[in-house]
Amino acid sequence: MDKNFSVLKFLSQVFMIYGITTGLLNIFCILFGTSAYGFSTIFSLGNTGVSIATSFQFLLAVFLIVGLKFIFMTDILIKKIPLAARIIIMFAGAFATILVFIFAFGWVPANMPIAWIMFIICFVLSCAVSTVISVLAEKQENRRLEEALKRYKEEQ
Amino acid sequence: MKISINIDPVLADTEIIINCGSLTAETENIIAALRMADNQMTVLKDGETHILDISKIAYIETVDRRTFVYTEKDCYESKLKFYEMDEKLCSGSFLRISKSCIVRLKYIRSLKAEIDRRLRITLENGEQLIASRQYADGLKKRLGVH
Repeated sequence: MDKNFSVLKFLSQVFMIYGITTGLLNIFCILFGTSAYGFSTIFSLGNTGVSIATSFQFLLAVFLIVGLKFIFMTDILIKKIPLAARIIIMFAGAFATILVFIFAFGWVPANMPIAWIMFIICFVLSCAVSTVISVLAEKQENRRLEEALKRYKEEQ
Repeated sequence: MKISINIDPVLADTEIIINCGSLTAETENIIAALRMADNQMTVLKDGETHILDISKIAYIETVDRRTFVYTEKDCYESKLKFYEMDEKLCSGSFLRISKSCIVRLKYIRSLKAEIDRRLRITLENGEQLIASRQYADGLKKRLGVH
């Protein structure tokens, strides 16, 4: 195990993401719960909120995805795989995890192509945007660091 | 312990002689501190004691409470504790980059930012080290990155 791994750090990330996800899900339930009732298990309670079963399914999904993130942020993988590649593999892993949950718990109706298309578009779009932002931010930060390092060496 | 200081304007170089009954841990610490003051360090490799110029050190790492000193090609063990190295070296050209590692800034070839505010450090010999989030800000500050 990575020597920087901390259970507390891991759990704090799990519950932070889980809190945000559950909050958003409840908002979606209030907004679309009535019309989406019967199509997805996420809206099994209509517009009254998220069921306990769905809450625990999401907690498990978040747990696995944060686990994936921690694996790709270990010192060994940071040294061996470039940031952009790591982000892409990480998102692919997250996508596969969500797919398993969708099929296992009926989050998205299997016979409704439009729901699948919307899910894939949303996922790919959010992954692409966050990857581009991360890579651009990384490049800018790297340039600043390189310049500062060069300046430091010249001054010494 | 008796300390005698002999000041003689005729003497060109400062010489320190230690007279002792046996080489105790305390005496070894004194010798190590004197070496540090002279920009040198006593280190061990294959059971032999070496005197190493501090300017030759690339980085220092602690593993299982043992302190290892890395140069471009070699690895030595030091009897000094990691925190002692930290106290003695980090005010100069060295910097702590994680709970277990001190690096010589001039030996850094490049720096890369990570998404969780850690830094990937590539040394002149191609070795890579990771600066933890806790210490990455200190490294940036030292380099003048705000």
